[in-house]
Formats: sequence, C-alpha cells, structure tokens
Amino acid sequence: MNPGKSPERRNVLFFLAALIAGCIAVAGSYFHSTHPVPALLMIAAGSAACHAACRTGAFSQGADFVLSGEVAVQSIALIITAGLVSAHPAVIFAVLMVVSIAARLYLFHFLSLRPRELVFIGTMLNGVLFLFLFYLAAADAPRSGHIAHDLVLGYGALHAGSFAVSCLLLGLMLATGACVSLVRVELSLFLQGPSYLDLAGIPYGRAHAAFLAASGALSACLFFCAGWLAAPLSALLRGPMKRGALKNAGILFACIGAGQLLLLASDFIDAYVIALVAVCVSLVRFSLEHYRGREVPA
Amino acid sequence: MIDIRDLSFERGGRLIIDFMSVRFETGSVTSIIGRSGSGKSTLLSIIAGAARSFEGEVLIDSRPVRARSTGELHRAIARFGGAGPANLDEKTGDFVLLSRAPYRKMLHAFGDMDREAAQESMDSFDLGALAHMPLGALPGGAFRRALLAFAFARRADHLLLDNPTDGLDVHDAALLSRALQRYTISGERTVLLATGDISFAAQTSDRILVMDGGKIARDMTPDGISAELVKEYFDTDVLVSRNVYNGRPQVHFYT
Repeated sequence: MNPGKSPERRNVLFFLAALIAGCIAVAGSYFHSTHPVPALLMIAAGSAACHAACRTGAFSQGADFVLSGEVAVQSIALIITAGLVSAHPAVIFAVLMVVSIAARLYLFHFLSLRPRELVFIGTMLNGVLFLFLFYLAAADAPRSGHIAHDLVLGYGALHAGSFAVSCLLLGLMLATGACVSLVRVELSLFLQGPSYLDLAGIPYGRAHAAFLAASGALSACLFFCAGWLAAPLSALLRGPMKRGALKNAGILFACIGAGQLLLLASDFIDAYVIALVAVCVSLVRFSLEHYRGREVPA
Repeated sequence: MIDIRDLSFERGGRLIIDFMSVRFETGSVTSIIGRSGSGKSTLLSIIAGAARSFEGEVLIDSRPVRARSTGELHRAIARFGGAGPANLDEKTGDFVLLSRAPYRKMLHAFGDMDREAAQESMDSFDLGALAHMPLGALPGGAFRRALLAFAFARRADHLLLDNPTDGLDVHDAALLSRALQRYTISGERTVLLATGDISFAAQTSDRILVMDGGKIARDMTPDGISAELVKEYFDTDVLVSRNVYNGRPQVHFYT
C-alpha cells in the first residue's frame, strides 16, 4: 500500500493544511479587515460553535445547520426582537436561545417529525430565506447598520463591544467542542434513543433536557456570531476524513479560517451575497450527497 | 440460568402471561414458539427487565431481576428486538461497538476488548466490509444483521432474540444459525429465541416451548414438532419433513 495515501497520513496533511490556512485567514483578517478585534473573536466563536454543534449531530440527519431551517426561524426572531423589543445584544442572544430550544421542542417532540420531513421543512424555510436574501442583495437596501445586514454578518460580531466578553465566548465555545469529544459515546447512545442511552445507565429525560439546553445555546451562538456561514464547509469536510482528533482540530481551524475570510470579504463584497452563497453551497452539497445515493432516512 | 416462578403480567386489563413457571438452563438454546399475541415477546421483555410491573419472580443466575441495577442487567442480558436505532447516520461499525457501553466507565473510550468483541460479531454476520457505511444506507437484510451483531457483541451470559429471522434471507439465517452455535459452544451462555419461524427454531434449538394464551402449552425437544402440533397451536395444515442433513423437523405449507 502506498503510505502516502493512508487515512492517518491524509489526516495529518489535512490538519497541517487547515492549520496554515486558518492562521493565514486570521492574520489576513486581523491586518486588513475594518472590523475591530472583538468582532473577529466573536466570528471565531461562531465558527467554533458551528463546529461543536455539527459534531453533536444536533441537526437533521444528512443536513447541516442551514438546512435544518433554524437559521430561517432565528432570522425572523432576531428581526422581530430587534425591531419591537430591544436591540441589546444580551437580549437578542437570550431570545435566540429560547427560540432555538422552542423550535427544536416543537419540530422534534410535539410534531415528532421524521428526518426526511425535517429536511423538507428546512429546505422550504431556507427557500424563503434565499428569496429574502436575494431581494436584499438585488434591492437598494441600506447596508451598514441595517438590521438585515447585521443579521447576515452576525449581530453579536458587529455589536461586540467588550474584548473580555468576546474572549470568554470564544473560550466557552472551544471548551464545548472539547466536551463534545469527551462525551462522544454518551452522545451517540443518546441519539440512538432511550433504550440505547439506558446501556450507559443515564436517565434519558435528564440527558434530553441537557441536550436541548446545550444545543439551543450552541445554535444561538452560531447564529449570533455568523458561525452558520461556515456550516457548509464543516459538513463538506466531515465526510471524507477518517475520524480522529486531528480531523476535528483540522475542521475547527478550517471553519475559523472560513469565518474570518467571510468577514474580511464583507469589506469588499456585499454581505447579502456572501449569505446567499452560503445557503446555496449548503443546498448544493446536500443535494449532491443525496443524489449520489445517500438517502435521508424516512 | 433463568428461573421464572409463578409469573403473571397484565397489560390494559388483559392477562398476557398467566401464572407461568419455567427454568432455562445455562448452555442451552431454547425457542419459544406460538402465535402472535401468545406472550412470547412480553416474556422476553420481562426477563430483560424492560417490563417490571409483573407478579411472581424472575431470577437471573439466582438473583431477582428487580434487584439488579440497570448496568448489571445490561451486562448480564443482551436483547435483540427492542427499539431500533434512531440515528441512521451512525456508521455500522460504530453502532455495533455501542453495544459494549455497559462494560465501559462513563466518559471513557472503548477498550481493545470491546473493539475485538464488536469486530468478531461484525465478522460473524458478514458485516466487515460494511463497517464504514451509515446504518441508513444498508440494505434491509444487512440492517437486520447489524442489529443482530449489536446484540451478539455484548457477549452477555444471556441472549434474548425476539423474532430474529424476520427480514433475513437464507444466507442471513444460516449466518445467524452459525453465530448461535458459536455463542453457546462454551456451555456457559443461555439463549432464548421467541419466534414464529418453526423450522428455524427446530434447526437451532435444544428445547422448544409452545406458548398459548400466556401459558406454556408444550415443553419438548425439537423432535416433538409435528403436523398435529402445528394444527393445534397455529391452526394451519402443514407437512413436517426431516432435514436430510441433521434429521430435525422442517415445516412446509400446503399452497
């Protein structure tokens, strides 16, 4: 066997490439972006949240964050909250978290939707989001300071005031990613259902409540800090690599790098166009995977 | 050894198990046959500790099933036929490995012994090449084999199989038969099958119990299977022949 093609070596090469690319992207964003450092840290926190959330399997099977439809639901919640209640970032974050948990409870438990139905609903909701973004990109809508613009580039990132809060959030998201690795087996058992989690002697009800709270917080953070823009990249890279710590670290660096690049690109390209591309990539990736023979379970 | 004494179980006002006493010796393969609703699957659920509101006593290796902790029960008993896996994105190999969770300390990785048990079980069911495929992408028969491999990978002293041949073709059923032989070869494990497949039960078991109306109607060796017995308990006319290889009964329908 050619050792150059072994999965382990491929993982090492991927990790190094992602590390270098991530560092270049962060450096490029730091030196050339018009955004302040706390904004860069917030975007990095969003990317880390996206990476952790995708690893929990919290989103619809076979789909990434965009296709789950939560982006669309959270977008609506953010616009209503900022317009009618309060534009304070802490309020917005709290509302996003509650909305995310409520959406999950409604879709997964009250409606008990099957994965295929969830993907269908997600696709529909994202169709609406796509049209909304397309309208904003094509129309002469106000850019900087406008709620829709802030929504696309991460409300938290654009309103990140404190360096300490940004650092804390990034640290929390990185720690959450590490925790996901630690509880990987318990998480797998949980996702298989109550009788499987019972094998680990963990009560399903409590685990379920903890999972809902954690995934809601991650979901809110990744939307609040525009981590969802990096979601298609995370899903694209996850498939071909062999499982391992290097793979996870590599994808994390790649996601952080992608988030920084998108923020940097927003100085030159319309933010709505960036969001449109993210939604399109997500849909194309999912469709290709689906049509290449991988079925979304009924 | 599994010892059941004066067991009764009611659900929705209907008596499913009716004052049953039976003992399953270590090292044996016992098949419980009977029509749908005769109480076969319920009996396995009670033994596995999944249904606890019963009257009477169920002893697993001389200890009451109710006195055992969840972890203890899962280490002592592996069951096929419960709820299916919800996350079909899980790779087949990883899914089978999850069966070893009762032996693992919380927040620890699986050990070499766990991996070896999972691999052996996968090989028994011809799943080696499919280990990296998601469960949702497996063909129907392979999916059923993955569920069987999950149960066998536990290497528990007591294995309960509820309708294990459903959805299996001849090749898969032969794999299951061979896996059962290997599983009990040491003489230290007990296997219970609840099945409507009388021929498979006759080919693989040391003992056959016929359940009818929540009671054990017949307790016999596979040689006791006859056209009259099938007519009496399954209300179906059949022809019972003998397998030319091992002399065990085989049931054929008239069409």
